[in-house]
Amino acid sequence: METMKNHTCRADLLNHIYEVSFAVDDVKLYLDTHPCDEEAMEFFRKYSCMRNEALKEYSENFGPLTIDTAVCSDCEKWNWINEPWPWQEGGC
Amino acid sequence: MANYQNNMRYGRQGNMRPMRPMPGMHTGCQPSAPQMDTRCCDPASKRDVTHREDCGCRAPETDRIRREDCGCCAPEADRIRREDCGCCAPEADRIRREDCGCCAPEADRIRREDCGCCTPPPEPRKAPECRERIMPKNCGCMMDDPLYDMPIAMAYVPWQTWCGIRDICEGFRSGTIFKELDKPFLGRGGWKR
Repeated sequence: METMKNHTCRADLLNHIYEVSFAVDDVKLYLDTHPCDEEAMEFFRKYSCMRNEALKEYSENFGPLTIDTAVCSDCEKWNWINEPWPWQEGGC
Repeated sequence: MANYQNNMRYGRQGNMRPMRPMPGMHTGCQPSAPQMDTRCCDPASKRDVTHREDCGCRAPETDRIRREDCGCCAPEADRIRREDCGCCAPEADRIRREDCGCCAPEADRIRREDCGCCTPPPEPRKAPECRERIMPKNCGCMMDDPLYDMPIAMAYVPWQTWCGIRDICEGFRSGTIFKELDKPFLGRGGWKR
């Protein structure tokens, strides 16, 4: 599986999260009407895992994007609001 | 509603439903309730068309012939199974199901239904006669309409299949990971130009 460790730039990693999240959302809609499609299910597994890895990596380096990865941050304090959000200046 | 419930509770006849004749009860001038005459499903009475139509338990003549052909007048237990398989569906749909083998023996039929072969989009039908009459002659303005033969006021969504999956980068830019769904609206037609 492709790893996200080569995304050293914050913008690149965030863009990758956007792309893979959109793919997961799109295949999710397809699976709603095709729940037995094994190829689609495999696609979902692959990119869902990739998305989780990317979110985890982003949280470890730039702060959490979602509450699910808040504990992945290296900082021991609660830094949920410390880092700029993606839509703020310096966020990306 | 309360009065109706009370009437039912106290056994009085309400005006919403005729009283059902009870065994041994003299109904006087009340006509007896129509009863389904099951003799029409008896092969011995097949030639008695008048009798079958009077009983009202069958559809009009053309439809009745089709149903008899499919075996719906078989003995009761077998008939129920056949009705479940959809062979009494409308004509176009029934032909499609027979072609896919859904009327095969029971064990084989279940396997075929699981494969999803009974869920294709409806086949095109001939336009109703009224539309043919209304269509202006020598005009030709509607002849290139691919949906002309379809009944109006119905929406059709062909079943999507898992194919033409794009790279996630391209999917994010175009708004879909499915190549066949990338259809910028150009005001006419249903395909990308």
